[in-house]
Amino acid sequence: MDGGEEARLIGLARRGDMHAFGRLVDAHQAAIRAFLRRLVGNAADADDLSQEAFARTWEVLERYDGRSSLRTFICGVAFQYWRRARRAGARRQAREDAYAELSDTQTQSDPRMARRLALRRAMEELPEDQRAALALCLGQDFTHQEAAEVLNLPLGTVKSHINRGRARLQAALGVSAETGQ
Amino acid sequence: MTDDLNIAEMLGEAPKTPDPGFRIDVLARVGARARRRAALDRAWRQIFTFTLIGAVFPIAQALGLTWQSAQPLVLTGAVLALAYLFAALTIQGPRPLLARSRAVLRGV
Repeated sequence: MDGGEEARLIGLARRGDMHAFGRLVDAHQAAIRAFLRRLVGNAADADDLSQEAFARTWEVLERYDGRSSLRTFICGVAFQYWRRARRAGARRQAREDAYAELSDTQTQSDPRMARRLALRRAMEELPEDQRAALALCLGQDFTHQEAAEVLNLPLGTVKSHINRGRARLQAALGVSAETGQ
Repeated sequence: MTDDLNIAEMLGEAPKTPDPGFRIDVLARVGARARRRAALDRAWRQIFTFTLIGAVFPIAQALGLTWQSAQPLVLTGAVLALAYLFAALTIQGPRPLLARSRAVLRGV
């Protein structure tokens, strides 16, 4: 979707046009859902958060000033929702950790699944901002500059988060960070 | 299997084509949130209105108003309220007004 068409749809959505907002949801859902799926690690929970983030975006669309892209704006809303949900869901996290350990014993025979679990664990051990920066940029959905806008961090900090985080994820996969092999 | 895209894919991917079910869920949530917000606003408005009505009598008593002295004021208020009811009935018809009264009684 080009910028002019997006601006037109934003204008219509601000005046209460749900159909226009639905088209904006269609245009940006892949990036937002992928971002949250990488952050959360559970597709159903991530999609739930994505829907809440879009619904909240509808309410605060007036505050969107056009300085960043709409996708960045929605992602910022989604990031805030994730942080809030993470703080509220500490108990559930403990339950999921126990489940992950159980799954680990069951998936030892499946090397790909074991690698996924190792990666997920490494991701969960990262600090919040580092984790979010990786979730935004690893899939090349967002540029470093966009990630800096979403996370409200300096560009240099985002680049450093990505380099350090990537090294830790590669280490979890048993790969040397220098060679990438 | 170790480049960024592969790591991203292992961490989680979303459908590349728009999912209409997702859009419908988002729009349903938008509606539900709007209804919840409207209900909350309505509740606050009712609390404010009934508190105001309840506060009239103690305030009048505190100011030393007797029935005799307050009678013109009360009668004027009653006439204005009746005029409002008549106007509302004329403009909207009895059904919305009754529905609203029923909702107030139910505490919605």
